[in-house]
Amino acid sequence: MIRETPLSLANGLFAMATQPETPTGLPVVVLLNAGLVHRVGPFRLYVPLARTLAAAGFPVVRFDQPGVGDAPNKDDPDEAGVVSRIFDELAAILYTNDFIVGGLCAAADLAWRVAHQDKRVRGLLLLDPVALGGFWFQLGKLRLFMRRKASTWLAMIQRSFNRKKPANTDFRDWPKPEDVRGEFEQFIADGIAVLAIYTGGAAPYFTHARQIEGTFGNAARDPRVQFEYWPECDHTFMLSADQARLIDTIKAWSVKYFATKNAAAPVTFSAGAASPAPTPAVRAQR
Amino acid sequence: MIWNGGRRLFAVFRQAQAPQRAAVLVCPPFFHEHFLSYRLLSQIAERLAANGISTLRFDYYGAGDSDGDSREFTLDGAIADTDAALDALRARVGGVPIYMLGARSGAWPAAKAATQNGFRLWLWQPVADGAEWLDHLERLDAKERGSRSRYPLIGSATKPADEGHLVGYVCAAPLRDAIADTRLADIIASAPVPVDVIADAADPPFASAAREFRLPENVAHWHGGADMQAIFFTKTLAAIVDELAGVAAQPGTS
Repeated sequence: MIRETPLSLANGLFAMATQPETPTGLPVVVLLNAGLVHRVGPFRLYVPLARTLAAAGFPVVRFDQPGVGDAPNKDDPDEAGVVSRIFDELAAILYTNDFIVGGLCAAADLAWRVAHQDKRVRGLLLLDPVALGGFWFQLGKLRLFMRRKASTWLAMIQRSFNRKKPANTDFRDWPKPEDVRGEFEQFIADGIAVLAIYTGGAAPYFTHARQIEGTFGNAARDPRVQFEYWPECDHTFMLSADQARLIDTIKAWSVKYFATKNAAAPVTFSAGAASPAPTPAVRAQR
Repeated sequence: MIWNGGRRLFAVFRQAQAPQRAAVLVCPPFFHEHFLSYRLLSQIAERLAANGISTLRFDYYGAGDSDGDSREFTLDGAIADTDAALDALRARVGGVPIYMLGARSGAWPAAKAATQNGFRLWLWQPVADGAEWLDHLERLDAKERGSRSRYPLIGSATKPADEGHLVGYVCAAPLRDAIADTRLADIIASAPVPVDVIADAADPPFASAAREFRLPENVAHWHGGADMQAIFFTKTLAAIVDELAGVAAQPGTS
């Protein structure tokens, strides 16, 4: 059994809390807005996700950030600070200082920034997060071209060179490229478990599983990190099979890293150190 | 939260900035148009509150933040949930005039409640014909499954149809049949009430409208696709809401 209740928060905000019937002591999962979509997520995805996680023992909180859904307009540019202040409130309401934070697209970007500045983050759930380009991205792009009918190649090339509309990545809030690897390594050093899933919808910036190592380096092979690449899936998980797969994967990851007694113990990782055990961290379809 | 029998529904009440002159029950669209319209309806409610009109917005059972799996959403259920939300609104606002606002397919439960209670009806980009809308949803679903923007890495293939679903939501045969059988004009004809329509520029004239407002493309476009687009609450939108609210100030218009 689970229970779902609205929570009043400061500054005109409120949240939906989906909780197990009895407290379990597991971290609170905080799902952030996927861009402009209010707290139910695209295609109501966050609702069954929250209910599934709550049934597995995890309290889940969904709320609208300023400027989205029912929240007042944005007046504080420090979005990560807003989330941290909500952590303060949730800590008092739910009696915990352990948070798993994340979500889709912009939510992944914000979760990254929150984890960078708030030591209460124990887990990061990143759906189509930051990735850097380079050789493997270009190779993946070439492969994408080859899969299309030859009659469409000219138009695709023209679109690549004459981009009038901003690309999806223009709306993202990523760390500087030179900071990505170091910040990720710090997450691992802080003992944060990470689930990162890239979909085919991230093709404007992610086309090949080898970009993961190119972006995050050796830390991508840490035993508490799980990367997935689902090229046949879209960015917002429109189809029911993709939604079910995502929910199952997040549940399995959450249980594995937080709800089992033998979860991987935190280990420190520093740049330049020997690689951790070569556990297959990337389960990708190449 | 409000209740329809054993069904727990999520609702947001926005109190009018004093003095309260009227109250509006907002019936949201179905399926993906629910999340696409959510911020817009929230901002409309905020503007109405500034005009002295309280609003109650709610999610149908099996939709949004309400209880229930998406498989449990039905048209009859949405209509019954609207009646329950109306009771909750009445209990909250006392004897002030009540108006119904239905957005897109939410026009159907709103019209049902309005005609049964003799309330003035505001229709926001209403879906006039269920069969035509179903056809639109099926075309949109097929377009999205074949979209190279949505699925850039599956070559020239199209994703197979998601059995019993439309545009990411459960829509099995009984619900499809119910939608296909629904015509807004028939609901309103059962007991005519004053109707104000906020329509897309390309929509045909609404026969029984007391007043009609036409939305410019930059604020009307939000329901055309499956992905969220920014809707800016422009001066045009604010002026339309203000004009709707202005009627509420006039005695005998409820």
